[in-house]
Amino acid sequence: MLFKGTNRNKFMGFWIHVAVSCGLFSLLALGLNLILRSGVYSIASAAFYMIGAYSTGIGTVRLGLSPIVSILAGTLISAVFGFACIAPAFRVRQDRLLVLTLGFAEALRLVFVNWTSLTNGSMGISGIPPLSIFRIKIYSDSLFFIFLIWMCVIFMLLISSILFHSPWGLRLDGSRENEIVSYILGISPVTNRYLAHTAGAIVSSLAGSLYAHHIGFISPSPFSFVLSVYVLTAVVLGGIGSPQGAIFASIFIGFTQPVLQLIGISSFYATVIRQLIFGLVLIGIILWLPEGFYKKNSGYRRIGELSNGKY
Amino acid sequence: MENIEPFFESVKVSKYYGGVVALKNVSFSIPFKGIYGFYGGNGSGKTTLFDIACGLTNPDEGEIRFHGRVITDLSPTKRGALRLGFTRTFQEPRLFPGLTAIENVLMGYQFTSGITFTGSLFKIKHWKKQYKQAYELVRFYLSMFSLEGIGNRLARELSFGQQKRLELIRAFVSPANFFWFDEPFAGLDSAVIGLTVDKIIKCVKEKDGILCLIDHRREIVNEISDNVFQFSYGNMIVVR
Amino acid sequence: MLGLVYGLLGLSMLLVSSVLKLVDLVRGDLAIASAYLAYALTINGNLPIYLIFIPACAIAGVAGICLERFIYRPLGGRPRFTPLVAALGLSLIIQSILQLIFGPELTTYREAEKLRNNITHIGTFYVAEIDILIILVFLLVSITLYVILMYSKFGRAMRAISDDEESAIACGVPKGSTYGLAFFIASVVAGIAGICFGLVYGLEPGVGLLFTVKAFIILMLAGGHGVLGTVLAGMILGISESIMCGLLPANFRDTYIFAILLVILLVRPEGITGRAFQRYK
Repeated sequence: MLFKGTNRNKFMGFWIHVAVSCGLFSLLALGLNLILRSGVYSIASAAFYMIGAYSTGIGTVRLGLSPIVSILAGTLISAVFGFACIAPAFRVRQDRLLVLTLGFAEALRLVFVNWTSLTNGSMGISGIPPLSIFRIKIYSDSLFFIFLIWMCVIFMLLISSILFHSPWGLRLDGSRENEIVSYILGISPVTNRYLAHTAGAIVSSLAGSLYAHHIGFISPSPFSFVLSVYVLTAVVLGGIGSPQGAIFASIFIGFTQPVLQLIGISSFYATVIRQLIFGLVLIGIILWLPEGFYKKNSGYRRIGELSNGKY
Repeated sequence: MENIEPFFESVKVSKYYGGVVALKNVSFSIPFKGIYGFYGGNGSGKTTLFDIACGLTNPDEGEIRFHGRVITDLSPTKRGALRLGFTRTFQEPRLFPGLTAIENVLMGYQFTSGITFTGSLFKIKHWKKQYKQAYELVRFYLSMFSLEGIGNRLARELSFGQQKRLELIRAFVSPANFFWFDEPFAGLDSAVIGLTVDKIIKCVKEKDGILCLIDHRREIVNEISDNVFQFSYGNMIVVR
Repeated sequence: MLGLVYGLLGLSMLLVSSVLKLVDLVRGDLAIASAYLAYALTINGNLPIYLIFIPACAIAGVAGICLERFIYRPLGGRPRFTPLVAALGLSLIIQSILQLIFGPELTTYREAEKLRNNITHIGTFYVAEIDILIILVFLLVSITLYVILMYSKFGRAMRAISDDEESAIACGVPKGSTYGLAFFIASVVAGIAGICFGLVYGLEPGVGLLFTVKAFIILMLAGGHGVLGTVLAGMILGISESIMCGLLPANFRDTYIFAILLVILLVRPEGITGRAFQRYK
């Protein structure tokens, strides 16, 4: 059961799927966390998720490339788009950027829906082979797959934590809080934002590729802007500055639909009710608990830990 | 050979905002280290001069020189603490509102590793050590300026006087030695001013630096400064 | 003629963004929800859609006032991010409720068929009755809005606050009721836009946010400083979309507006009426 599938066991399959979903969602949330922390209001996560998924889909099914190559191609394309997305960011106000990135994500999805020669439109691409690293196949309903995904999550978490505690992270926060002064102090807000956004795009793309391998079939419909808003909900719920919070919130979000289905609500209604719940959660958090749940960690360096001081 | 050019020179600097003359033909030089006071009424051009000196805006006429070298077009980053050693505070304190007081001051500290994306990931031991040194310095200045205890408070929650002092400390923590302080004593009552003045002068002397400060009260400026420049409607006269 | 419908919503967003300096992401969903409401009201009786405009939009207006008072006003002091996120949350809620009540499929008005098929020829152009209706509605709304803004006391109050809020308040302009009034008018216009959208295209629960984004693009093209600019932008966009649909594959219709957006961003990000963006050095 480690590497191979467990096709006969529906129960295990269901919970494996939940674990994988939570993991993928955590990756998306961590990516967005980094982006928001740099002060860029870009919530185009679904766009990069989709690019990664389709790179894998088109790469492995249509072009016959190996999964690793497809994943890398996906991250490269996402990095380029991620970079390009930020370019107009300095010509428009920040709150306009939010709408624009949402628009970009939706536009990309519409292009994928209509460009049937490339993506097969709404009918999607099926028959995506399982992930294989150096010829070893890792079936996507195996425990190893879950292990792999969560290793990525933990790796991202580590990197995020290190970055945020480092002087680079301090400068990132500074360029978010007050651009003019950081410019005077010799910090370039521009470079930091490009880096953060590109990194976030790459992570989202990786998650997308893994998603494609997991389900085996992709179509444009799950990548709607609603997904981007769900990722935003996870990050806001967990506290914008806190990577750990984002993970816990992602787990909560990942569990909601299965729980709803377990108590007997049909899958169709579960999707809608899930949307309602998350909308309420988002508004609730914004109105009453804007720092999210991880208030203590929410973005500020834990002074005591490094300085042994009592400030 | 010693460089005999003055540290700083302003040569016939003029600045207009639409029809308003902010500065007209302002020329002066700063030949020695010490304290230089700038005072005058509101709108007399002092802040504009500071903006031009530090690179935040360009003069319409004239030029600025540093050790004889023309720096009029140099960006503020290139004049900043790491290069030429300029640093500036503002009338309305410009801090990082969402960061704590300590973090605000840390922003001025010159870290040598961990400031790039890759550097922060690979040189962890280095920058952790630098953090320790940085904290020592920050704590030293915080207590010198009577700001202990507010270290972990967000900058936007501090009082005006505290914010102004925080901005001063941020300047001192950096390697800069050419200080341009705009109304550093604004909002402080007379009892506190004396103490603050002494501390500022001590810090500047310890860094072997030059202090240019603005205040609108003549008594204070006269008392502290070695040289005084007075401003009136964009024109400047050297008083002492 | 969808471009003009987006233009209507653009006017609605213009009102909100000028007076409150806030981009309201819920506009589109509000519009669609009002349209659904109108649908619900007409489905049982025999009342024609034209009469239903009025109560549906009135309710939309009231909903707008509630939105401002209970959601946006408490978030006033916080950084700009928070009202936008709240709007996204509200968008999710509205869409899910609409989907629960009306189902995810496309819903059309009874009259829409007739309006769309009643075509007359003017020269070489095919003009459907619905196109005429949209044009008339658009012109009517624009002119009414312009008159209100320029010549009424309320309009002056709104313009004053949009110009310089602090001075306006100092001169006695009542902030709270002006905000409320601006939202009321904006939401009524949004309701009209929604119903027009429903007539031209049909109603789906999920289309609200895309609607908002397109109206926002019009606002960006217009620069956000005046009714005239927005009207012009709406017309330009409507015409451009039709032209592009004629020349290029029509099923990419929704994406053309984003191509136009790209052009705007590259060439003139401040829009038709905007002042040039000033970067700090």
